[in-house]
Amino acid sequence: MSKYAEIATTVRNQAYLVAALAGLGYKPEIHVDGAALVGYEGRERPERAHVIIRRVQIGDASNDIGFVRKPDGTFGAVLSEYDRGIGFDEKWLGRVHQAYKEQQTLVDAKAKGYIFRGREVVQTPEGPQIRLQFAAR
Amino acid sequence: MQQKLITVTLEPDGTSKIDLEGFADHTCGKVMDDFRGGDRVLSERRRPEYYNRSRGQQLQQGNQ
Repeated sequence: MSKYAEIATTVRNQAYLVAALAGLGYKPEIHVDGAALVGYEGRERPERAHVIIRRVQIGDASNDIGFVRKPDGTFGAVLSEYDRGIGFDEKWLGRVHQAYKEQQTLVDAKAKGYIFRGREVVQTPEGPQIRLQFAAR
Repeated sequence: MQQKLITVTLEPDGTSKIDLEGFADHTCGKVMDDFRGGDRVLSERRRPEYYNRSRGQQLQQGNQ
């Protein structure tokens, strides 16, 4: 028997999100009660978030990027129009989700007793594709 | 005995594909749930070799 499924990633776990962002080269801040995002002019914006990449890590003219925990427990990204225009867009969010799912898969599989067999990165026209292989006991 | 393998392919758009090989029918669902991690399934199907094997079994039964 062999089965195949396609899955849409939902960000629910803050620790995996922070690890994913760190893996992409950022140093995200964690704010349990949320904190204000800072705009390009250095002033606080009305938007708040629980995980924040400060603008100094993005670019001089950028705004902070935030991930806000919603009432249903999932995280949503807060991205300014400007930052979407310079590459922090849906494609960038896809890479964040990819890195998040890798963290989730590695940690969950280990906890459930699966044996990690290897990681392979395949370059595709859309970006890097990551293949993880596990064996069951 | 066939090895039980799980391949998780993480696409750059944030979606992923889970491919199970060598599992018995009744364990497939649990393993799939372990790797799905509560995420939404967009599509799910059996791999072609499952159907080939089923067809082979039917042909064998037909010949008996």
